[in-house]
Amino acid sequence: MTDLLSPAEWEALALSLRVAFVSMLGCLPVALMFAFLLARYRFPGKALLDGFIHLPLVVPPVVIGYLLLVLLGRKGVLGAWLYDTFGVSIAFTWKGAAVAAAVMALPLAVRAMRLAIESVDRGLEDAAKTLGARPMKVFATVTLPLISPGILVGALLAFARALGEFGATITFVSNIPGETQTIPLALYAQIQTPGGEAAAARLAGISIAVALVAMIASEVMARRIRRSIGEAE
Amino acid sequence: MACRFAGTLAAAFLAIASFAYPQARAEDLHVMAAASLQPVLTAFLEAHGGEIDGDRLVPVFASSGTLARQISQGAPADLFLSANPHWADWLVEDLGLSPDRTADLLENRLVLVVPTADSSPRTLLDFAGAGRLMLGDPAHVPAGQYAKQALTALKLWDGLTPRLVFGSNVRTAVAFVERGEVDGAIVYRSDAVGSDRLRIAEEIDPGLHDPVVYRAVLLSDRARGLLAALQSADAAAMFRRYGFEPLPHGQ
Repeated sequence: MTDLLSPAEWEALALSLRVAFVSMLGCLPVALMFAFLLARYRFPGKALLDGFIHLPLVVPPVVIGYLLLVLLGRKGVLGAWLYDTFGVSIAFTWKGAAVAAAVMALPLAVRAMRLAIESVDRGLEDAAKTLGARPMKVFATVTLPLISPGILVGALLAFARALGEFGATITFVSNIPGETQTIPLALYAQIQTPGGEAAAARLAGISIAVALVAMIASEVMARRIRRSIGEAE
Repeated sequence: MACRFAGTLAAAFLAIASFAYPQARAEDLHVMAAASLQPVLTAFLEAHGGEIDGDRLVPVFASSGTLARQISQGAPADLFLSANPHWADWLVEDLGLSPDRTADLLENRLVLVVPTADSSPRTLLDFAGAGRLMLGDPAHVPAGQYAKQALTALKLWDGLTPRLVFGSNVRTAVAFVERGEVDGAIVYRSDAVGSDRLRIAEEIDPGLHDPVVYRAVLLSDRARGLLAALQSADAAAMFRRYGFEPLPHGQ
């Protein structure tokens, strides 16, 4: 089984999974917060915020990577302060790759969650409030279960997007085997290497397979939860 | 119902497993080397079991310009092997290092290569009229910079520009010629020596460009052992086998 892939490819797969999981976990709470903000509230500058959140979707990924470099690189606006104060730098590390992937996945997660939040029947929440439940309890026991398909879809979309992240990653944290060389970056390196065709094909296969599994799982899980909620009503 | 838990369990297992896989360690020696050194350095590392003085060697290959920029921005590096003195000197100045932390290691030659399948005699002048020629990107790839100097000296640069393809490093150019995606490329002699899917069509006169000198920059003292190993007689023999010309130690 271990001969299926070379050690470098196993390393790329492990790194890809680690980066995707961490970026998904980091992206979720932020996405949920923004989704609530955009779905439930009106405030000046809302369109601007919406635009900024969706920037990673429409702007070239290399631009996002460049902005991350300017902001969080070792000599960046925020990064230099972080390094001088805490000795911490995420540039050229897998944590930086996770940040890049999380930023790129954010708009997808926000869209999925916002849709779910907007389709919640406010009447149910109001009913809970009239029965004496505090806002936090309403959120935890009424809203959250109702939007859980949306959260799940958003999480899996974020995971799949993070798995496939390339442009921002290679610009911000570069292509360092074992540290930032996720599957897309490893594939890119193999395409440029004489004799790397077989490895490139294997990596492409893994990439497609993992992404398909994530997407199908997302659909199946969402359908089950929707069905269970439908039965409860 | 059981299916849903199985899915979550599988996901949790994968997440934990992804952290358990061997990661980079602090005692690793990072060698940032020009892409053209990939075949010979990989063999060198294998010959040494991937370690020097007990430190695991982690090589990172890219164009010298790209590597210099990354190191300047804080990428971890203990030794930098640049395919031209320009990027090495740039980094020394950028980091404020003393010039005695550099060492000239190797020399190389530029050649015009074509796919082996193309058996007709080809020269650079042929490409002046037709055909796609690939170079390293002259903006940051030394091989591309040398090639541009040579083509400019031969007054072929302007005519070729519309049909030139730039690669992010010289090995990309080698890969594309091997696959027949381009009609030819200007690469190093060391690249041609190692491949049977391309052949040397013309050797480019070294007088047309700056000398191709590989300059090493010692970024941390932990890499002194590695640098010494690269300057040893065994290493010199290996470099010669791969088409490089080792320079005498102390140059």
